[in-house]
Amino acid sequence: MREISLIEALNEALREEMRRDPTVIVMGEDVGVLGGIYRVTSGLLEEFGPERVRDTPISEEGFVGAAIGLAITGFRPVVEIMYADFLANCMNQIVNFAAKMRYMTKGKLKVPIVIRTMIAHGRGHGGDHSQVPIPWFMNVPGLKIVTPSTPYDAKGLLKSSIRDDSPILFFEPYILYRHKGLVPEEEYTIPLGIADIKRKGEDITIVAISAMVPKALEAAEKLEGEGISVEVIDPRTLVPLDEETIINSVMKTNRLIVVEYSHKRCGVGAEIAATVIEKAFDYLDAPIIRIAAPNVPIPVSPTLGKLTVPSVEEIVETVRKLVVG
Amino acid sequence: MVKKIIMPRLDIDMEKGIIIEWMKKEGEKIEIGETIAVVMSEKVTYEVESPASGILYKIIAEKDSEVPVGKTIAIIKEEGDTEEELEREVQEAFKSLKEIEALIEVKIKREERKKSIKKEVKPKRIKISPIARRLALEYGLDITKIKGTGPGGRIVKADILRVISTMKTSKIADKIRLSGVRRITAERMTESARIPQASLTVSVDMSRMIKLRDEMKKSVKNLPFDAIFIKVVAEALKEHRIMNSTLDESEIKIFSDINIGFAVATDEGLLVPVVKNADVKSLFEIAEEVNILIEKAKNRKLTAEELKSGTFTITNLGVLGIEEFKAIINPPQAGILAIGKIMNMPVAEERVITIKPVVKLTLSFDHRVVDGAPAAKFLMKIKELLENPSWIKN
Repeated sequence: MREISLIEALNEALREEMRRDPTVIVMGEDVGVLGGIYRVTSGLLEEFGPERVRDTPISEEGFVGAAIGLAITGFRPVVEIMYADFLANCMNQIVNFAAKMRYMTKGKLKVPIVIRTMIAHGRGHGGDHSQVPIPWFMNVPGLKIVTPSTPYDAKGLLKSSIRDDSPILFFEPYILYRHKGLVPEEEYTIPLGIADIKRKGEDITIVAISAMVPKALEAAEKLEGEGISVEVIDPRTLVPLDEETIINSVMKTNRLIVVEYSHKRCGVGAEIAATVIEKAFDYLDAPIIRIAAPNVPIPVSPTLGKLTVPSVEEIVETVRKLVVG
Repeated sequence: MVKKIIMPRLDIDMEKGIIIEWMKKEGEKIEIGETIAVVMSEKVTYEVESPASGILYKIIAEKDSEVPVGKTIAIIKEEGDTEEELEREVQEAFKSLKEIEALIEVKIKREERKKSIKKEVKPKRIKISPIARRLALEYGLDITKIKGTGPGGRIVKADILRVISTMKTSKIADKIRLSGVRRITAERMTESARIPQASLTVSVDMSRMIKLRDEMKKSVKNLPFDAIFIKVVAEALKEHRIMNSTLDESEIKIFSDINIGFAVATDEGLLVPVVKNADVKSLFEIAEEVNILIEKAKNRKLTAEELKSGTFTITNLGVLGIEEFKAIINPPQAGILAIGKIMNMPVAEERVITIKPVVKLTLSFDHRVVDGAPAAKFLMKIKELLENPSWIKN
């Protein structure tokens, strides 16, 4: 099998879906002529023309609103929000329109829109360009939330997202954009709501979100040398969440750590920890630990910035404390 | 009008009944008078008959559930009943059962809370992980005796596993809820254990009785030893009325009737049907009644009436090969006779040893009611009646 980068995998997914379905269109800042600032939409304008690949003004609320309008009238728009932080600029459209329309019209309208966006945390881009706003949207019923950690998952999940009739937020981790991985040339999709066990283990479960997956795997590798067997789970979609896979794993290992790079307060880890306590309390042998970004705006300084991204060392240390004591 | 099947009251003390079996499935046709379900009170099973012909529309109380007397357990659909009416009744019936469950739950919770308040007086809090606590419970371990090796001395799964591996503890696989016969037996036996009891044993030469029985069997085929012992005990009680009594607070009440219960082991547990007025019945009458009652006990067809009003009990484990044993009395009665196996044994007569069939009888009695000497006289009377049995034919 060939190896391609996560960017190339996303590009392929878009290209294949646009070829398959003429209602799929791409919109966003610099997605056309430039091919996206990180080349995710590269070559799409040339192949599908300006009608289906639209550069938009710097006006997130405007073009997300326009895309929602297209979605309810029969298109399947894939909108790019350059930085996940800018979701705040179009939050009203997403929360009060995209997420609600299907319910408030008794299902008469559906909103098959995919909002792709990049998580830049870990690049030193400062407080308003480094947020991981996944938890903001987990609290909004009516949205699905996807975040891949490998090129294979990215392609399969984006294709499924485009075909799904719900509004979807698709978070792409910048620090994994150039990671390469095996991706088959033939057609495949990955269903939403199914977690992937990235590594099997017996002593502790780590649920890792997005860019934290490779870190958890690296930590697991180190711990293997110390005789601690770590199971690493990537939920891949946070809404809907594959609770079953996580709970089954905890029932086996009796210990759980959730690693994310959103802020800790009310984060993904809080949600997963509470779910496990509710459903598998009697299987826990240790407190559930959340490893996350601290509750402070992310600094520009590379030295300080580093402290706000969970590190492999922090994961290793936390596992040791829980397993060895 | 929609016809409802309710939990019947099988005897005056009955508060709840257990559904033993549904004879019909939902949607199945049923005729009036046909058995629809089998229910059980403390010791009685009863076939509930359908009050109407139609279809078993809905089972409200599933098999094995415990339902208060008078509550709906099923709904019958007759011709003309509308879906709407039926559904309303179904909803109401479920609601009514739920309310009771909720009441019971509230009561249990209140009691638990009371208990936990008492417990909180204990100063020591044990740090233990949830799975360790659960495992300790499953294996019946005392967590106050387990040393925790987890962070901050917390007892963790590994500690429990270590204890389990060094101890010979079996995991508790299943908890059997005490219901019906088992529960009543447990309650009665606990009650009995509070009574100061003494016991006396005597060996009885059965050779003449066996000979007589063989003779009588020419005219009566099925003549169980239980019937003979019932007749003998009843006869002895006539003379020793004090053994046919009960202690009621400050009074000993002597019963006027002599009603002998005899223990029957069934798959569901121990049942004690009663031969009433055994002192005025002939041996053959008793034999016939005993045979019927045993049959009914095995098929769980005994009625409340047939289990009630015993004044004295006999129990025979001799049939299972037990040589002699001591039974505990069946409250509120004052005595019980335990019958061992009839065995051929060497017996010294004058200066000659002969082999004779001998049975060992052990009388347990409420020592508050009667002393050793009168109890001994009663037992010796039984011995005499068995060893010189010609009277029994009368």
